[in-house]
Parts: sequence; C-alpha cells; structure tokens
Amino acid sequence: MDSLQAFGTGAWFFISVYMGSLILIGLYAFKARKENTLSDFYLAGSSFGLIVIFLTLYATQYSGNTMFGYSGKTYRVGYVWIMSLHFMTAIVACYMIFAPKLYVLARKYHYVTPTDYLNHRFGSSAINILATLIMIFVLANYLLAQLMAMGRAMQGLTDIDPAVAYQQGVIFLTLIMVVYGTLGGIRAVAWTDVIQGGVLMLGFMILIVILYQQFGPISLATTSIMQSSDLAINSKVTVPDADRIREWLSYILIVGLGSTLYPQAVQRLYAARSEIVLRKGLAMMVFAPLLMTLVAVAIGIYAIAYIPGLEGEESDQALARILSLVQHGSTLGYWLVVVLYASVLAAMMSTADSALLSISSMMSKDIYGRFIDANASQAKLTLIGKLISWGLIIFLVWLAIYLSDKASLLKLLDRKFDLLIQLVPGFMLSIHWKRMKALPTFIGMLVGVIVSLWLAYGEFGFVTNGKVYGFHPGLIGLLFNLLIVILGSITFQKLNPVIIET
Amino acid sequence: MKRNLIILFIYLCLTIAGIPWYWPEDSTMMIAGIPAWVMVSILVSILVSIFTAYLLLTQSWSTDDPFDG
Repeated sequence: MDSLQAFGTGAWFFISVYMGSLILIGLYAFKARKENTLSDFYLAGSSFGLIVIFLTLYATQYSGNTMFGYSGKTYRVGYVWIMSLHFMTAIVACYMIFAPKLYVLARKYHYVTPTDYLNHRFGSSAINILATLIMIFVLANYLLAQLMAMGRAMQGLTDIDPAVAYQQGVIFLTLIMVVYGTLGGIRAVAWTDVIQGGVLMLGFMILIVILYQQFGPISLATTSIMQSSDLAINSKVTVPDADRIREWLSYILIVGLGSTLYPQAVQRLYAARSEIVLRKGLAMMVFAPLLMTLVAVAIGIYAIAYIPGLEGEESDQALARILSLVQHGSTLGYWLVVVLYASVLAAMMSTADSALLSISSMMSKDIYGRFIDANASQAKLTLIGKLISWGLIIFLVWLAIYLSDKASLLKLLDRKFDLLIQLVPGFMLSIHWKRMKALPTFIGMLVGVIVSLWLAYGEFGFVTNGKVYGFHPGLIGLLFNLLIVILGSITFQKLNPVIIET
Repeated sequence: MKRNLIILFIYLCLTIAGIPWYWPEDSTMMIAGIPAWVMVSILVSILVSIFTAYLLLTQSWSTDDPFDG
C-alpha cells in the first residue's frame, strides 16, 4: 500500500495517445505559421484569444511542483501553508503594476523578449546583459527542476529499475516536448497548454471528489490531527508564530513580484490579441489558486492525518501516497489515478516547454542578434533559436540524469525568486518613472544580486533556513537595489537638471 | 494618482487581514471544523481575488506611451 501500483498496458496506451496528440499539435502549429519571423515563432504574431491566453497562463504558472511540492510542504508545516493561496493570488495583483503599460508598449514597438523593453527604455548594453543573464540562469534552473521532476514521476509507475525509469522518463518526455516546441514555437506550446491546462484542471477537480469519498470531509482530518498526542503534529493546526508570520509576508512579496517577471510570463502578455483579452484572462487567473493551491493544501492535511510518519524529502511523496490508497481501492480509483498522473506529466511539460522557448528567444535575439550578428535576418534568428533549444536541452537532460541522486545540490542552487526580484525596479519602477536613469539601475540590479547571494550563502548567524528573520534574502537585496536606483536617479537629476526624456 | 493610492490602501488592508498575526497563538476557535484563522485567511484571499478581478474587468488601462515626450 506504500507505493503506486505499476501502470498496466491500458494505462500506458492512454498516456501514449496523449503524448502522441502533443506531437500532432506541434505539426499542426508548424503548418499554421504565418511567416518565418521571431514574432510569429515566439508570440504567434500576438494573436491569442481568451481561452488560449487563460489556459496558457494557467498551465505555465502551475507546474508539477504545485501538486507534489505544495502538498509535501503542507505535510511538513501544516495549515500555515495556506499562505500559498495568498502568494499565488498576489501574482495577478502584481501584474497590474506594470502589465497595462508594458502591453501597450509591446504592441506599439513589437517587443519579442523582456529585454526588448529594457533596451528600449535604457539603451544600455550593461543592463541588457545582466538582466538577460539573470533571466536565463533562473529559467535554466527552473527547466532543469522540471526535467528532474518528470524523471521522478516516471519512477514508480513501471516495474523496471527506478534509475532506468528515471533516465527513460527524462529523455522520452523531453524529446516529445522539444519536438513540438521547435516545430510550432509558441503556437504549439500554447495549444498544448490548452490541452495540458484542461487535463490539469480536470485532474484537480477529480481529486477533490476522490479525497472526499476516500477520507470524508477535511474537518475530520483536522480533528484527527488535533487529537494526536504528538505535539509536533498538533502544531500543524495552531496559529503560526512570529517567524512564520514574517515568512508569510515575505512569500507574498517575493513570489507575487518575482513570478510576474518570469520571461515566459512577460511574453504571454505580449502574445494577447487585445487588451480586453488579456484583462479577462488575468481576471480568470486570479481565481485559479482557489482550485490549485487550496486542493494541494487539503491533500497535505489529509496526508498528515492518515499517512503519518513521512520524514524529510519523503514528505514530498504525500500526494503519491494518497494516490496509492485511492488506486488500490477500486478499478475506478485506478483509472482516476492514471488521468491524474497524465495531468501531473502535463503540468511539468507545459511549464518546461514555456521556459525552454523563452530561453531560446532570449539567447537568439538578446545575445546572438544583439552582440554576435546584429544584421542577422529574422529567419536566421529563428533557426538559431531552434538550434539553441536542442543544444540546451541535450545539456540539461545530461545534467538532470547526472544530478538524479543529488537533489539537495539543486535545491542549494535554487535562488530563482531572490534573483528575479532584482528586475523589479528595471521593469516596474522604470515604466512609471521617466527620470529613472540607466547607470543607477544597473548598479542597483548588480548590488541587489550580490547582496541576495551573499546573504543566502554567507552562513551568517542571523540567517536561518535561508531567510533573514523570516524574510527572503532577495527582498533585502531589493531594498538596496531600490535605494541605489532612487537616490542615484535623483542625484543624476540634480547634477544635470535639464530633463532628457527617454 | 488618488485612485491608485486608494487601490494600494485596499490591498494593504486585505494583506494585513489575510495574514493571521492578530490571532492569539493558543486560539482553538473553529469554523466548520477548520481552524478559524485558516477560514478567515481563505475568505480574505477570496476577497482579494474578487477585488482584483473587479479592477481588471472594470478599470480601463492607460494607453499613454511613457516614451512619448
């Protein structure tokens, strides 16, 4: 009862048909291309309607990590992880700081990558390079984590050696993803997102019903936790202490601000057909956490009550253990788990393909097109982008296999929000403040990155669990960053009172 | 500008209400079988979603180009 029952032929047939349909969508998207340009390949000529925009935002935002990671985190910390509901909602609210103006600019000046805005606003190679490097590093890290999660998801679903299942899972799923991604570009990614987002949403709705049928209402699980004689388990329903409260606020700020600056998220803004489509898509997205994160937290609570004793990294298996109980219960339960697992794979692939496409756009346009061959044609840049996708993915697949038993190393390197948030002044402040200058922006960004990493890795006494009194190091870095940008820009203004409009 | 400040103020109030800093640490109050601080936090989060959706659907976006003089 501890682990999932290996899938039979019927289940693998279902998953194979599903994977095959993704390749067909890639082929269809290839045929649907209008021209061989960067804008068409990476933004589909800004033609996405409401359903595509909503489901592509949804599938990109919610990865396999939401299902496994958030339920595992709830298992470890308890009800306090309800904070995830708040920080996922904060993402949409934070879009409103800059999305309206950025959308108008992107349409008017035909931006393709996030750096296009920075280049237009500041005209500074130093800012372009630093921001692009931050975004590529963050995305490569994110992509690698998704590839490794795909491998782990495949383990336990077959009877073969787990190490072999991991390798085959990483290679096979990545191959499918990169084939449809390079065939059809953003069209393939967004259209597969529609299927993947749909399956993911369906999977979570099914899970709600399963949980209720299997375990009864969550109030029963809560009572069971409260009646436990173990104080550590009791504490998972009690009001959080001051450290957790600070952490809660920190998460709202860093995830809310940071997630909006994921390059693929910015590019989704560019790809909307019209302002009204984007506004409606975001309005739908703001309710998504109520389905996704709330269910993930509920899974964690059920697991605390009914599957006690998972320690450390084992707690990330809370969802798998719950599913195992469901799977062994009935034939219906078995098939529900098959659909749910397909939705987990969908969630991972849809997050990974968006990250890959975004990296390839930045490397071809912002690095190759800007610094190596400024006269390259659109067709050549698109081809370079595809070649980069293949080269990068081969390297990352190798790395995912090499790091398969070194997950803690990857966790150590994961400072994505601490780094991404240093782009906040460059995007969110500069779009409103015309007098913001390039040099302080660059220095602020650089200092913010250095302070964040220094605090994260410096082994200071006041840093516990990677946080400064409950706050992420990236927020402390952002404070320095903002101070430099604001004071620097005002000083420049005083030294040179003639307003030079950008 | 004034409108933006009001919006910011409402978000600030909702954030303060959503984080359970004001509950006594030994509170055992329950609502529908779930700790009351969790239930209140979920309700506030729903309010944030409704408020954000309202803003997105009713307030037109500025079409000013910050690059125009």
